[in-house]
Amino acid sequence: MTACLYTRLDTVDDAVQCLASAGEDGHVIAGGVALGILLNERLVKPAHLLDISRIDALKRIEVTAEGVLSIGALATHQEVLTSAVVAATCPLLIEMSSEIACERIRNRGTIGGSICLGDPQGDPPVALLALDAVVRAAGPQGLRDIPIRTFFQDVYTTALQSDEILQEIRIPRIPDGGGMAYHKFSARRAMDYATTVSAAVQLACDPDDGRIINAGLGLGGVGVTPVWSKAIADGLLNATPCPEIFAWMRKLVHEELSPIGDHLYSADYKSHVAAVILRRATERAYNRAVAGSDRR
Amino acid sequence: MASDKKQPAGQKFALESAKQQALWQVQFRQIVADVQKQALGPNWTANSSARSIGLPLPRNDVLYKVRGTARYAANISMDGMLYGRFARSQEPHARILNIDVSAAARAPGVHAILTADDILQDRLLVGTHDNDTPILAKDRVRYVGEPIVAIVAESVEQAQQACDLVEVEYESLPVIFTPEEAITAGAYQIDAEAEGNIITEHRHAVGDVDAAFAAADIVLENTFTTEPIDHCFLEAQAGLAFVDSGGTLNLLVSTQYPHFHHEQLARVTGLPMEKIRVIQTVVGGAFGGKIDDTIECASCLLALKTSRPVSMTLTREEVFIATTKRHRLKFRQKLAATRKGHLTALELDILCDGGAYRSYSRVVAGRCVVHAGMPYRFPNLRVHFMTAFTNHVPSGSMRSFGVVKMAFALESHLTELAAKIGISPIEIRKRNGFVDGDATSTGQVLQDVGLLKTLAEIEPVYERRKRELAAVHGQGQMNPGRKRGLGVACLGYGIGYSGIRNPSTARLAVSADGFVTAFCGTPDIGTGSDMALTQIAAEALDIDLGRLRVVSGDSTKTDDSGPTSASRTTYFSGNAVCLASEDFKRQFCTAVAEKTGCLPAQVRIDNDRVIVRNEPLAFEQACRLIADDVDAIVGYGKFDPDIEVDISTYQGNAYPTYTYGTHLVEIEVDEELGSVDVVRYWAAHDGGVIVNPIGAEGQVEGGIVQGLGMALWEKIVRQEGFIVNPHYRDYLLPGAMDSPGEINVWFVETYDRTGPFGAKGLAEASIIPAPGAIAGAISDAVGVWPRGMPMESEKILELMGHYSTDAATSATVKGQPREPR
Repeated sequence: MTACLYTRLDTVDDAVQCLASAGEDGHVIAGGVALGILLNERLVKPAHLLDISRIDALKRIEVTAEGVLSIGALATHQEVLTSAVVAATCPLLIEMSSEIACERIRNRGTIGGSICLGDPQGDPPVALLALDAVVRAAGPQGLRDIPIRTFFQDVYTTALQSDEILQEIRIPRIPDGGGMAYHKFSARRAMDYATTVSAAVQLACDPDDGRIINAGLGLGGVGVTPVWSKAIADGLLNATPCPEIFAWMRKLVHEELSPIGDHLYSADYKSHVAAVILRRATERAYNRAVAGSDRR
Repeated sequence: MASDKKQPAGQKFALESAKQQALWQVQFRQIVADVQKQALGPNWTANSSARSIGLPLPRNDVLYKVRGTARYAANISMDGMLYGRFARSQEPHARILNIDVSAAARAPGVHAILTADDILQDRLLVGTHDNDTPILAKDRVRYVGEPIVAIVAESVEQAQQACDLVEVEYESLPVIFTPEEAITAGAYQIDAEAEGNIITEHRHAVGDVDAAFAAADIVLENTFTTEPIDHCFLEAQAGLAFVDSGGTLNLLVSTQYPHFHHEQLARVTGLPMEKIRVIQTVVGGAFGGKIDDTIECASCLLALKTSRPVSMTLTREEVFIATTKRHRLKFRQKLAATRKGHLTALELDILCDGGAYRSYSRVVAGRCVVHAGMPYRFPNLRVHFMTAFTNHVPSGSMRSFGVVKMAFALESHLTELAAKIGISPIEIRKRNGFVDGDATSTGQVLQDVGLLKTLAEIEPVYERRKRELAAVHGQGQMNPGRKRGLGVACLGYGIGYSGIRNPSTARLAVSADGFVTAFCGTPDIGTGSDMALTQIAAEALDIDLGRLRVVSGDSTKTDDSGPTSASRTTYFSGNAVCLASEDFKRQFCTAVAEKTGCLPAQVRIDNDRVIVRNEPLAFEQACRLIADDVDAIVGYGKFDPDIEVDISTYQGNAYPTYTYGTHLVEIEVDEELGSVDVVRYWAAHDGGVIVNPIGAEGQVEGGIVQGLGMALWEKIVRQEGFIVNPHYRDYLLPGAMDSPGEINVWFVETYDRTGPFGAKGLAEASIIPAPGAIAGAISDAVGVWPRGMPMESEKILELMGHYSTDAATSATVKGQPREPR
């Protein structure tokens, strides 16, 4: 029987210390949604599991004095979905969280775990890319802020160092007059993981002429990592949504993205879907922006 | 896996005490009274025994299932129990040069290791129809996942760890992954007995097909394909084998056919039949996937070898990679018709991937052949059906034995034909559908055919929705880029085995306190058949439902009556119960007559009472009266209709009766993505008289959703013999939210003169029209015909020619795009 050392940590400092001493053998577990599958399929056989799920300090959701929305790494998807603070400041995260699996899984899975996994099909990374979030990591040298747009590096590989623990996600204040939308395609309606392509769009427009003056977007399921594309986002600037803009975005999607074909869908189809849902998300975000702050 | 944990008592498990049963009987009587009260309204009085047939009664397994006390095989544990696991082939086709179990034998907790060498050669092969499948592979493996070694250990984990340590040395052999390759001249022969790798080949012809095609106004011809799919029962194959103190080998197992395992175990273990007992545990779904040997023989051999109870449960991945699948097939269908929409000829050429062993391939082929063209009149018909060996996991039986795939093609062509000649898809089916007096392609003259009745139920709904959708589309009320469509499909399906006798039996016994037990040969596999048989027995005996208990699924208490499959239990076992009831009543009345000193003719059972001359006695009173002789009363019934199809001419009566139906589906297609939402569903069925409407409705709804999964999403994907999606994560099974928002089910209730109280059968039927209806609806919505299942969004989009083009620039920011799925 393969034995496994299990340590439950109560503070971030303890966790960082423990992780440092565990070295290569250490494996952090929070909600266990992703790791649980890997353990069940015996794809991962950790020698030392560090359970951080009881660290209360990492569960806070709050707006800081500077107007930054700070979400603790251990906030569950369900807590994000039902948070009044999030609803008031960043409805995109509500829309996104509502698309994650089912309530039972949302009750276990954490936003931090989802980001650390770096799954190209995960929902939270896509939304956070559109929001230009910053990831704050705690390590032996103290805290380190990493822009999320540089965080996802390769297949299931992130910028988080092996001795670091994700502490919180910081979302910069969203200017008034903006709109945001999350759109997910899946073959089935619920709990679909295998077939998803998703797009998140956050934009702001000029109150006078309706031109888009600021745009952020994220795409999921279309590459080895969740994707942020500056080129596509910049393409929206100074424009209003129109067939020409969308045709141009579609061209960029085909050029910029390298989805991986699988047993269900071809790479071409995924590109096609990405272009369609990116347009839909953009339209919806724009409609919300012009409709005013009540439906941001 | 703490084996020391106390298990709850559990239910539907033949070893439970009579005391527990009595408790349930009391609860059950209350439920029955409540339902009867509801059904009969003001006519209900406390002692009025209503008719039992047609009452919407909750099944007698619901309470223990919703309370979580049902004992599934994997939940049962015994003192000293060991756990078994298989080491499986990692090669699609290879010679086994050596099996090294030395490291596994040294692994912690291991008690015994079983390989093919431990089993006598003449006991090694098992199978339902052909004994061709080794319990453990010997000398050669034919597919990835084939069991090679079975190991028992103190825990599942230890057994698995030991299996991981088994070293198998292979020498690769030529691999064959398609039936086309398999039947190519000179292809490696996978099975020693099967020349040309052919498992089964059938030819059936009626009339002059070539002349009919030459004379036809309209000919449609296409090639259709389907992918292998999994049954996706929630409970994996599981069983517990042990030898009891009397030396009897017991197997508690999740199965559709306990007697099959009993007979196989006798041969495989060498034990006499009476030293074996196979008891079916609560079955968590089967759909044709639990009538082959998986863990049964291996766990029993291990239990005998270790003298300890052995529990084996397959993992979900094993269910996917190593148990039977629905056949993958490819077929050409050519159909001829007149300009007026009368069908004149049908030609089918079908090639099936049978996998590495025979399993139910012959049965599937036989049923498909006699169902060709059903349920329509084709004066000319020609079918060629061939199934070949490949190095894939064996294909076997699954709900409808292949008929659903034939219906996908036939119903597609029917709808296409209707569109070509400008009549409604309902009308084309009315013009060609079977009516009383029509003959099937095997020459069987049909009676009690309710097909047109089901069409008549659906027609007004179709016409109404057609108008409404036309208005919605015409007025631009649909969201941009989305189109709705309607699809219609019918079914005709034979009840029971195809063209061979398949009797069922029942025995009725009574206790001195007035409880009647019906021992029925076919087990309940989660369909509610025990409930249906309870109702039939109560009706036939004219006693209160609460007095009855059905015992099924115990190989020592019932006769071998075949498996619960082929929609046969209500009809075959129901008829057997009716026959047994007559025998029972005769014996019972004679016994009462003897005690009361009158003639047997002066005693009868009426409305839960026993009338002696003119004196009514409560039923239990009469039972007490004959308490001394009560054990001698055993009513026996065997139902064995004259079924025979000549295999050379394909003429004869293929089934004792047929069930019919019509489905209508409304879907919405996203024109930009090709994805399909199933919005509404209507199903009208002729299942004869419905014994239990809520049970029947549930079966129809389940079949519809299973059919939608097959139509739109489900497929087993293989690469080089390995299944790449052996989990629910990657195998797209529809969930509750993918089901239509609305499923309407009607029963037209034809009275079948040969059925128990007019009942036919229903179980598999509802899956059959679903894919054909969906295909028709896709065509109605967006004008393209998918010819392959599953009809995936990518394929639909390709057919629409919208691939990689921005079709819907029409969706402007001014519109209100629909909220995403």
